[in-house]
Amino acid sequence: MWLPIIGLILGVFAGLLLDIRVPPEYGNYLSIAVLASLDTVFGGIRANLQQQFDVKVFVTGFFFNTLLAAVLAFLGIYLGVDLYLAAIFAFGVRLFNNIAIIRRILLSKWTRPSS
Amino acid sequence: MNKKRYAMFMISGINVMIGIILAAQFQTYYSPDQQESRDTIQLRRDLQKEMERHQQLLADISRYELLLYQYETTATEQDTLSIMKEELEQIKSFAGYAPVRGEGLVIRIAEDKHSNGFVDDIPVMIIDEDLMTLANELYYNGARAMSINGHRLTAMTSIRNVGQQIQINSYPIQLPYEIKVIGDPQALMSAIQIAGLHDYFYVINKKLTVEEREIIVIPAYRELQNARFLQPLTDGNGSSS
Repeated sequence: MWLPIIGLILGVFAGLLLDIRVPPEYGNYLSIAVLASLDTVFGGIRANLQQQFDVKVFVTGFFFNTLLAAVLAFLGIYLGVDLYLAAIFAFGVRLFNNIAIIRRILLSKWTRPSS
Repeated sequence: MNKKRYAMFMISGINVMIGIILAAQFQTYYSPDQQESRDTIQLRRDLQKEMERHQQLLADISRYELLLYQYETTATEQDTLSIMKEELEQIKSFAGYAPVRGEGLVIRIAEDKHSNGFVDDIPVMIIDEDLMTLANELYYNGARAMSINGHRLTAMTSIRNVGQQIQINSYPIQLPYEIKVIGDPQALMSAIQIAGLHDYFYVINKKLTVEEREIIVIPAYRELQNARFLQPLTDGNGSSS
């Protein structure tokens, strides 16, 4: 359980050390990418807790979702419709769902041994 | 159990990527734009401090230059010739007799058809003074070398109107003018902005486009030196190089 957190911290440090800066025009894409990846990770954690984890689904989900979100944002900019809001909405809802499910599973795991 | 561990490794790997993305995002958006809260006195004091530092750095530079000079003079009893050649090269590039390369700007002045309300159909020409203004402004702001349509500007360059044309070094040039400048692009760019040169040329129906380039090569001055009254002491033919 600790490994992913260590990985995240490692990534953040690596990113800070690498000092990557994205031009502000592309900030939208990046924020969506962050959301998509967070969604994927929480989805992965949930699936793992529910014993349904599939590496292929997980890895493809990460890249595909991120790409799809970026494509949506790109399209949205050219069509004049804020399509990236759709991505943010979808990912946001799923994120909350996943976190809620994770919380419930963890809660039941915590309470069951004591009861 | 093994599968679960594998999953954890996978999630960790993706997490590293997410961390990098997050950090990038953070660095993109978190630019600590400090509010300017210093008052005038403090600003002046800071400026004073920076100026002192500048002075010190200048002193350092001159000290090192002296050192360099000393090294060169002491160490080169026998390669005086090469030092002199080097110096000649330097002077040549200063005077415009050698091509120069470096980062700088390419400024284009082209015809821009628009009605500006001032003139109707009269074609407005660029005259020598316009180009001189531009050149002087650039030199004043740290341009190290300049050429207009491939003609190197030197200390002795003439830019003048002859009939309907502008002649540079007595070569006629035509629109569009392309001015290549070597120098700090930012400083030059802002100099052009501050001097209001865009508007200056807009009024006479010309369009000024400025382009920043990493590498600009400015050709040498093509004419022979016309040092008419300067003559070498010896009769050797080393005078014109």
